Amino acid sequence: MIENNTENGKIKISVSDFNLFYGKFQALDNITIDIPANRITSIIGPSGCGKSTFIRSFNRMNELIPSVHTEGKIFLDGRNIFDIDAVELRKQVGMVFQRPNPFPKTIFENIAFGPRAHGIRDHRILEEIVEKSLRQAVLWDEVKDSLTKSGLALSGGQQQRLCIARALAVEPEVILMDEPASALDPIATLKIEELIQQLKEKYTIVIVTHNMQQAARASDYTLFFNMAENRAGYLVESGKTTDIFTNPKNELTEQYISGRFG
Amino acid sequence: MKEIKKNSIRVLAVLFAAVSFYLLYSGFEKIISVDLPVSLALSQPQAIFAIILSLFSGALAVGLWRLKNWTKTAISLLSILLIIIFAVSEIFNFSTIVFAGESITPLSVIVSTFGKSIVNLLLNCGIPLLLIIGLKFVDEIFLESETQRFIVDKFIQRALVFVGSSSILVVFLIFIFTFIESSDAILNIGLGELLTGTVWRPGYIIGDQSGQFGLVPMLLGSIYSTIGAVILGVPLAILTAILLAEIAPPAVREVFRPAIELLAGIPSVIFGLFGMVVLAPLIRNFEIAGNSGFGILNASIILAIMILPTITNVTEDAIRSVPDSYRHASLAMGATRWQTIVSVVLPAARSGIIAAIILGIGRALGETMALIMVIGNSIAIPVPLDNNPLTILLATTRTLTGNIAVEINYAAGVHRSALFFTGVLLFLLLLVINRLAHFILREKQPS
Amino acid sequence: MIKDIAMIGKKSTVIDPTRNLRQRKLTQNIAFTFIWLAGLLAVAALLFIIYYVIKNGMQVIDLEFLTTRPAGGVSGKGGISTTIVTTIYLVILTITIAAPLGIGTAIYMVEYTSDLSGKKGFLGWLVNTIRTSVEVLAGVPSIIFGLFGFAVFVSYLKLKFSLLSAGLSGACLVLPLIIRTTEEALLTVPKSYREGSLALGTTKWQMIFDVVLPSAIPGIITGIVLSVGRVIAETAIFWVTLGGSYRLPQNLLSSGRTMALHVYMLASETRAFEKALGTSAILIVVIIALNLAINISSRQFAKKFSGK
Repeated sequence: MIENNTENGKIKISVSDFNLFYGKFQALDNITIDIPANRITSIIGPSGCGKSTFIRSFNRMNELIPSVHTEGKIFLDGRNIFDIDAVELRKQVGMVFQRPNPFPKTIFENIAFGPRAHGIRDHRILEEIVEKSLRQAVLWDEVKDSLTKSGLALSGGQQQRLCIARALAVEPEVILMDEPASALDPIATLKIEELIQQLKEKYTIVIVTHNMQQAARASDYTLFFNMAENRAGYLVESGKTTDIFTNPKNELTEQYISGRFG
Repeated sequence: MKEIKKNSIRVLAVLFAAVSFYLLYSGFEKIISVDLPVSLALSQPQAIFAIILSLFSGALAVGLWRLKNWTKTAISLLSILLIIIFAVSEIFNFSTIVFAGESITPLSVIVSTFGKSIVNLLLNCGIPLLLIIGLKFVDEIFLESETQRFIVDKFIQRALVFVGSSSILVVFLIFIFTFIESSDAILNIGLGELLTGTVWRPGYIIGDQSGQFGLVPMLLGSIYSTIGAVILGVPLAILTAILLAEIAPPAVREVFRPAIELLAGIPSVIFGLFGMVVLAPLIRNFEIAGNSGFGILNASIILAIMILPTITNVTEDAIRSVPDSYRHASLAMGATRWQTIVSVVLPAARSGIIAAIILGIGRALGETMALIMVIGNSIAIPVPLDNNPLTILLATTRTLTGNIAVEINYAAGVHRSALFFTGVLLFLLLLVINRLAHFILREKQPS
Repeated sequence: MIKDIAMIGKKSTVIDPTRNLRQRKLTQNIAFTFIWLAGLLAVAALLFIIYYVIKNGMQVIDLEFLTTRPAGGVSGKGGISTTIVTTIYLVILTITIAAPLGIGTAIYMVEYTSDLSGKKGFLGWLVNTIRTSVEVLAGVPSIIFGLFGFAVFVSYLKLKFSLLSAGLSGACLVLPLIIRTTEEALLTVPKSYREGSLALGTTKWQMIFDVVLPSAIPGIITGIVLSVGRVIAETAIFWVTLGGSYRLPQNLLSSGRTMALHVYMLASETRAFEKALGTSAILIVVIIALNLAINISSRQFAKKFSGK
């Protein structure tokens, strides 16, 4: 509802009058926003205001829930994502979940899983991809000698970096992160935040976070969501992170940031 | 390296094409050589088969040439199928020579037969094996089209609907076939006679056409043996369940539970055998005229042991699902554990226990072979052997299930139909019983 | 009021808690004794049967018993070689038919339609009907499956008494078992695995085949092993579809005799009870081995998912 404020940079994702319903219950109310390319956009807001639902719309994971139906459009690089096959879309828009969820396979197999599913079978190519992804996820040095260990044997922070590497292996353009560090200890969290900073060079990152300090220090743009009286989520304000946190235009934003609710 | 692999596949493609042409040629040759008009000639099965095979082979050749992934998968699967067929037939041959004789096969023969089988297998399976290994080797040459996995996905989705419906099909067929087969009896003998007649004499045994098909003796046999099993087995099972759920320490539970499960897995004929060989002589000790050791008592004991695991399991589950808060509340008031069990736990688990008993009854009614072996199989209505009414336990009788099993192999016509009717009766009876048990169990869930 | 206060702490003379407690404890001890006896009786029955069968059956088992065929007829002479092989054939055939159908049905129910059971429309009806059918099948006694097999496979399809008739009938028998255990196994796979896979851009089948099934394999195998035990232990259904030939089946359309059937036939048609006991002993050992395998493997399965 409130206009966005991107730089002269490109727009990666463009949302237009987007509504989402779980059956009769409206979860997202008329969202219109542009997500800039190669930047980190964080989404903050109180619990239950639809932040996760919102980013899950970008890779159409919401469709897995049968009662969901949507109105409005979402464009990825100008193409309506609802016109693309969902499976194809998810190759371009990757996701990292709140709780690390590596498969019960070896580290190598976890990362090779995506490329393999997309048809790459040459083992040499797979090895290259695995190394590249693990390096990008800043995990290579820690696991390069134990690629045949089970992914579940890693620590929580390592598992999450494994999941990030796994998402990177399919070479997406956008990475969605749903509170990626909330299940981790502070040191692991820091590592993830550094990693995300490095990733923004090549990827567009949208990250949902409950942790306002994290949003403030780690992202370029911020979207503030809130829950209306009818429990639907709506976009209150959006803009450069520095602006939002030092000079919010909306009173609600100011209240949320200073901790007066949420 | 890649070029060599590509070229070898191209060579293979040419081979397949050659085979295809050969088959096409021989197929057409067959058609032409026969002195029949074309339409009739086209119905020659061998020729048609050859032509179809040739088209298929041609498709494979084209797929191979274009390095398509589906071709590789198809050839691998077919090769595996061929190998399995050959292996199975070799196993059949080997078994016949080694295991089916009347005397022990000497080791030398075993070894030589085994050797011959392996050689045979290798000869027959050589080509398929080579194909599989070769294709694995050049695996990465095959291009997997992007759409392939979507096609597979859609196909599986459709196929699984049919696979899933197989259960519906089986139930449907059971209904249809057993009803159809029993319709003869219903029409010609009549429900009245079947359900209330007290004599079962299929007729042709005595030589006259009209037999009598009253099921009452068998009905009574089933009912009496089930009642006996329930009287003996239910208390034992419930007490055991209480033991396992409430009283026994974990170490004991670790031993007893697998033991009960084992009991459930023992083949019923072994129980029957046990009844014949151990229980019958024991029962014969009762010095009463007509006591053969077989009969309702024997059957009840064995049946009780057989239904014990079922009842114990379900009862134990029911007891376990009673919330601990009930127990704690009772104990906190100063009740003993036994009082808690009797006044709180068991009443709370009541519906589960009833369901368990009902399931046990169903199991007892459905048991066949063990009962045949120990219940005597006489066709008369079971009556006490002398003035003491308890001696009915020593009477021999027959169950509904036993009736079917004993006579089905040689029954014909309306007799056979009557046996199917018995089956239908059992089926419906057990359907009702099982639905009842499930209904009671489901009613329990909300609490 | 002072009188009331003085009443506090005085033991009531109407009910003496301590005497009552002694009585209740006595009742409990008696009851618990009976309960222990019941449990011990149940286990003792099992142990006695096993002991009796194995002790008496062992005497008959030797190499000749195991590798020569039964003589047929009423003599009871001969060994049980053909019955062992026939049992193995039948187990393999039944599992080969039932496993794909059962696992496929379970996959369909869990992965494709788990959200549909309440819904209206054709698919909703289909799912409910499938579930009801599986429940119905689970409650059908084996003699009815035998009758059904007799009517459909032996008579109508003219397969006669054969491995194929018996295998198809046996497959119907174990189908509900495989479906149930596979469903359970699939349901224990965490939802996060499925989400993780789909988020990487896999198709649904890729997700099932490459992530869900591998995790569910232990449970599925348990179901199959249970079915194997069931087939080995069954008699009535095969009596009516397999026939009882003492010869070794030459192909899928030949008749034969399983070990359990052989026990029945020896006991009811001959006087060779020791041989029946011998065959039973082997059966019991096999069943015990299968049960052990299931117990061990389910413990491994639990460890794999929690620890590692």
